[in-house]
Amino acid sequence: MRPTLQTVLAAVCLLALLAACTPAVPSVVIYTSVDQVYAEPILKQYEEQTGVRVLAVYDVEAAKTTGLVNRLLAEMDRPQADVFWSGEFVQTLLLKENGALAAYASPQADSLPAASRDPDGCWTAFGGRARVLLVNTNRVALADAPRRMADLLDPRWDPSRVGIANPLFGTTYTQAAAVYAALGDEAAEQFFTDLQARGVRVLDGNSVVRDLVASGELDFGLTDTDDACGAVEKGAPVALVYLDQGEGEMGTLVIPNTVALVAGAPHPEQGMALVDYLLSPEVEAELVASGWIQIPSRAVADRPACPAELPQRGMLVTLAEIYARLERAKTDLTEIFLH
Amino acid sequence: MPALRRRWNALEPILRLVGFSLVGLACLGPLLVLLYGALAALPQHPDWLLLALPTGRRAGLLVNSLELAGGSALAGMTVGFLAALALWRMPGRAARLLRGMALIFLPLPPSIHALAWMAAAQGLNTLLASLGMPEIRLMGWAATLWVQFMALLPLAVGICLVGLHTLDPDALEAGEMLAPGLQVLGQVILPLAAPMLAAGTGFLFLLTLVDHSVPGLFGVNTYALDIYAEFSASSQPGRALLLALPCLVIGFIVLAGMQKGIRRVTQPVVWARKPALQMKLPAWLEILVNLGLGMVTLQVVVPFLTLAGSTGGAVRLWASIWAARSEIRNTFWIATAAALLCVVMGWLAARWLACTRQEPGKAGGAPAAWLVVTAPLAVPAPLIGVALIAWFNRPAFGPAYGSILMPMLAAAARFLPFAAILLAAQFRRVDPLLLDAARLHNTHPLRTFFRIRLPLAAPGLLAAGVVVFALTLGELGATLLVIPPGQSTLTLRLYNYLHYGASEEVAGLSLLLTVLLVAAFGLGALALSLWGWLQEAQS
Repeated sequence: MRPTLQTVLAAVCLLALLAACTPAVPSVVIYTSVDQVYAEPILKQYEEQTGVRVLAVYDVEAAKTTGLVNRLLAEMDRPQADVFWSGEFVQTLLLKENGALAAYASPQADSLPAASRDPDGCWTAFGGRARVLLVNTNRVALADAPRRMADLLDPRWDPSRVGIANPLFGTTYTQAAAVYAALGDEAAEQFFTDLQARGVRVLDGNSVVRDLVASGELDFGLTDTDDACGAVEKGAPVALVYLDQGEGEMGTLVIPNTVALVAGAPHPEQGMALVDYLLSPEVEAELVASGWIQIPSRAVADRPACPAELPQRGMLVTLAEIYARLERAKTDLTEIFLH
Repeated sequence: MPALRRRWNALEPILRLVGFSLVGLACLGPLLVLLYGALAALPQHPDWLLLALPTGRRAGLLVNSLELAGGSALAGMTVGFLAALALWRMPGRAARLLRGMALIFLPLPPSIHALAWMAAAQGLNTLLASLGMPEIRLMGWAATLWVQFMALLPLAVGICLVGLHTLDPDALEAGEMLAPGLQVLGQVILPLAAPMLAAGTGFLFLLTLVDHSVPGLFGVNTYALDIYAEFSASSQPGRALLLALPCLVIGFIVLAGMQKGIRRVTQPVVWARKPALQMKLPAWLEILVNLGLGMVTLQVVVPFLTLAGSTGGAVRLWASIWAARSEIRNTFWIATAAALLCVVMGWLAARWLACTRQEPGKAGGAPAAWLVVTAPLAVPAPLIGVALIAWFNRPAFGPAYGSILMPMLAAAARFLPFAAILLAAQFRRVDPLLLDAARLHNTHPLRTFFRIRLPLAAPGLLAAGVVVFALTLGELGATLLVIPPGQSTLTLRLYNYLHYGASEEVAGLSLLLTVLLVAAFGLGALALSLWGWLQEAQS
């Protein structure tokens, strides 16, 4: 007997009903700018431990950080995400300023330094990456490599073999704002003006800086420790240098991860539970082991070989102070670099 | 039946109006949503208006962008025309194979082309260093122009081939008899193909104008980069839109200028009957034509070898593909659904383009309709994503927002113009006498549709579906903003790995995209051949 159209339709309706009657698995939605290769195992582990389904949206560097933050802002009237996990802090502070984040004091944050917690409880910072100078040791002896940010202006370096990522985007933008906060507006503007006038190569992203230093096309360049360690692990002839570690110098910028609960989250309870999990010492240790975090907030038993040492001197400016200099930095850097 | 026909005749204009309104909404909706947001914010931020005026530094950036877009478009179309001329004159199956090969990397994102060329330059530099020769530095304007030109070359060749195949074979044969060789090219082929070539140049120009990825990789500052910097720092789509306004205005002017050429696509494509031309060209031109073909070969060989050589071997390649299986599944469904939606909406759009008054010997369609339908080509992808969120993230749309429907809509919103143009071209090939005959016989409207209209439009529907499917494979900017949580696509995964630095995975996934594209085009070509064979058998 051939099935009639009515039979097929009835079967489809029955299947749809059955699907609708299936008990709903609890779920939580997370938007994260942490590289999928690092974030996914952590989130899968959470699924296995709790039985809660984690629905993640990952960002990509090509979107120039406009991706998920713009999505969160555009969705503010009817949020879809419960948790925002960022690989840095600027976008998180921007979201807080726009009222896109909810206050939640995670008990896991108690073991973190006080400066890691937003005074209003809208975000918590943990572990992070440092801004570092990646040096090709086939091209420049480590002992001769620059030790201070100001050394990038030294005329003995061929500027076409020195690279930075575009300072209008990503962590290089954050570092620029940190330089503004540390040196003051005028001194920072002068530094970047001189850097541009020297003709250093401005590249598309930190990963491009890493690749060009690793290949020897650049002698050295500024990047993040996760990118730099990626090159070290692949056996490239490179070494990491933390800049400005001397007495009276401005120190190295450490860019922490930030975790926040989204205001009006559709699954707030599940969201809080996921925030607690992400802020736990165990997750931080796993992210250190996987290579996403190089500068842990808490003591970690097993640290990977890279970086061999941690920076001795972090920047003495707060995240809020850096955030406050973003607008000025953006205005200046656009004029300096984008013409 | 006459009563039904009368009722249908009364209903048809209303249905047509609804259909055209839907098309207008799909094409202009995202832009209008953003414009509304920007205008609503202006009373609080009157200074935002200044963003729309490209003065000082921004004027310089706009000039950079115009120069780059103009250079890439002219270079692409010139070389594309030379290569297309070679392929057009080439006889037999080999020509068909070469045509297919020339178009293989059409949907590969330009930044992947750039990475392939960077890897190739690195390999060349290693060789040069071993020979004690100075290395080649792939940076700045020259590198940007080269990579952009190479990335656009497949599209340029495709457009030129369509342009050449729409030429009237009788006119060409007559020209060949009177003045063979170069004169036919200069006095017949070029003037006849000029509108199409101009439209192609405009299209390449637009694609370069809104792209920031390739210039960014090679350290060239453009206006598109300024828009992204603004969007990134402020996260205000209204500000980004006002800043993008000069580009949009230029885009619309270019689109308006392209109309004649785009409408030329709707002239019947005479694939079946090729003019019997000897086309004896002077030696210098033959050299140039072969050089063009060489460039096209280079455009295929270099990315393919670079990608294939970077996959890390068959085992690693298989591991990359296996790990991306859920993304492959999602990409397939999104691309298939986007293709189906574009085919349906494209049908309505094409009816709109084809239904307006036509003069004998001229391609049909009101310029306003063409401008509306092609408008999405001028809007940057992330802005389409933001507009779709503003539009669909409402209780009225229920669970549709946050489902796989959204990336499908995003792709459809971006690529509907392609489907509409292809279907409009197909409609122009349909013999109106067949439709008049059906009307005279008072056939049931649905019967007319299924028995006459649909079979006649089938090749166009298939071509439109395949093109939208292929373009959706590489979509990133809008998809990122609307992909449902827990889902991903092949291109999103590829770009995620790009930052991580896993070049084997990037190469493997890029190759996979290419294979999917070849499969889509291959299946499309096979289906078209089968369709043609069936039609012939029936007649």
